[in-house]
Amino acid sequence: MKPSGLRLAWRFARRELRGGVRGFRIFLACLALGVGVIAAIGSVRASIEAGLASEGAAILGGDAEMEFTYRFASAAERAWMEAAADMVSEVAEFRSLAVVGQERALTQVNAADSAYPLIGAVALIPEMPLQTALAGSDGLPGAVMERVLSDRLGLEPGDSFRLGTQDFRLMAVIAVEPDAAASGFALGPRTLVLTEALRNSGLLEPGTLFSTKYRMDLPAGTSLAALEAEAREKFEDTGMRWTDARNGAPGIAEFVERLGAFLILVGLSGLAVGGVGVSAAVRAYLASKTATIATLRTLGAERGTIFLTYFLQIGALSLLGIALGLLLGGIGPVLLGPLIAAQLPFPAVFSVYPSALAEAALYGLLTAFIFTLWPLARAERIREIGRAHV
Amino acid sequence: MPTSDPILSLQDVDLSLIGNAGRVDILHGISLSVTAGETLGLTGPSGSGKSSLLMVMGGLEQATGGTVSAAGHDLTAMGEDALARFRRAHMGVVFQSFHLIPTMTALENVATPLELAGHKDAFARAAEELEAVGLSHRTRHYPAQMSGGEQQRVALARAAAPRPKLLLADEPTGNLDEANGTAIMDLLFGLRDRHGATLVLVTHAAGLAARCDRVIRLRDGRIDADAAQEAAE
Repeated sequence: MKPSGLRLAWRFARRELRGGVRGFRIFLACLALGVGVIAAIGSVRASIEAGLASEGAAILGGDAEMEFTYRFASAAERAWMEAAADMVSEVAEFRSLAVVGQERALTQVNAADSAYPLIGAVALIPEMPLQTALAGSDGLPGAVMERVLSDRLGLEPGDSFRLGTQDFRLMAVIAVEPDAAASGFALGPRTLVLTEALRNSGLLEPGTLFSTKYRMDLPAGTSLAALEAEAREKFEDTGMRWTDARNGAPGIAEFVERLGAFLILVGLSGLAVGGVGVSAAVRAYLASKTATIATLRTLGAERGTIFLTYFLQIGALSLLGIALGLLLGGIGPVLLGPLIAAQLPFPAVFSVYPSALAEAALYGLLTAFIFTLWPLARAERIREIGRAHV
Repeated sequence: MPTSDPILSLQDVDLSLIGNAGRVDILHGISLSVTAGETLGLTGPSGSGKSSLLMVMGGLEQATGGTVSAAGHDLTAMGEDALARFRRAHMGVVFQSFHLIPTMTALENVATPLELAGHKDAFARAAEELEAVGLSHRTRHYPAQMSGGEQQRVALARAAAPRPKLLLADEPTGNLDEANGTAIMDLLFGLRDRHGATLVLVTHAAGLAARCDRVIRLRDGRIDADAAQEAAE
């Protein structure tokens, strides 16, 4: 098709579009809703990803983290971390049974040092500083735990319970734990104590199942990528695992990624079902245009001109439907952001994300293309005015 | 005025169509020749094949047998796009039910064949044609805003605008009252005279047929009488 042919087809298409969108409401609704759903899902996913990225350090409890299994960091590892960071915090994690009399409940114990948490703050009920709570009272070291565990054991602040061979006094329940999201899947509700207090518990001995995490508060301007590369090179064979603020909660990020992909598939299925409506609407429209097409053929329009004329019309209407969908799916999550954020256990930054909208637009275009091409191909086969039309 | 050169020639043309009820034979062994500048009237009872013959002459229906030549082109050997190009270069068609494009103004309707043919002055020429049929004040009106007579005048202007060698008219007054019908026929013959085109006119009206240089009467898809031939004989 020559450029002049394209211009001519566009001129004819514009004239045909004067009829407005009457007869195209279903077409527009199918496309707008399908694109809108995908755009909304993509926007929410991007919002969560942005939230995880921007709050990565807070979620992780530091700018970077080195994790070891069944052991504490060696002196060399510790020295390297302290050289690289302004501050280092050590947390040991393991599962244990909290015991009150005959009652036992599984708990995920986080044994921290006095620097914990490096970033953010643990909020307690009743309100008190974490280190005050962990210092304990009446000769017993302190502990804080999640409400669900204290309720399960019938504990109130001031009561005592046992971990291993060590007694603790429950000082408060945890309201907010900044690095909870980064810990990922836990078998039991969390209990927070000082590592030092476990010295006589027998729970952190060689051969017991625990892991240690060293969170680092790095100087401003530190290259996380370079530091990671250095750590991996230096401690390649030590079983060290590296996490940093660029992806502070890989478990959540992966979950959100998978859930997003699944929901996009659901949206695509909706778009495909809507595509049937799109196809039917185009067929009905072209059927109503049979006389016009036959007239154009009689006046000397070639098949290519006819195809292009209606392809451009449907294309323009598809763009309108997609634009409506993007408006719905792009603006909707921003308007509903505060409501959605309140339901999410991790941070999200609600905004308009062009990549999410572009993805939805692409799916919309493909759907419109696939479901309109066949009826459009039939339009160019409409013949000139013959006996059937006179 | 007619010259001796044939602009339209049909040799042993058959037309059969396959419908739900089976095969229907519409035209049988039609042979005729039309000279350039001639006005030919096609008459006959309903179902005699007048409109079908006109469609075959214009390449709007493909003959199932025989050959059709128009303006030096063998229409039976041409594909759909080649026929479309042929029509826009050589042919104007007027129908009983106007067949204007409803979403286009009168001016755009008339300009359409000129635009398809690539004329840069399509709209200026279309405006001239509309003026020639007395509709210069209706250029911006859509078909639905015009009377039947006005719509047919737009259709006439559209058919005449590309200065075709062949003008085909299928009962152009069939949907009009007598006064409008007469006006349309005056315009049609006037346009033909002005542009020197060959006119083939399908009509039931004996009065209109009488205005043609030659009249062919059809019956059951066959030529029943050819007034010019008979006169010549």
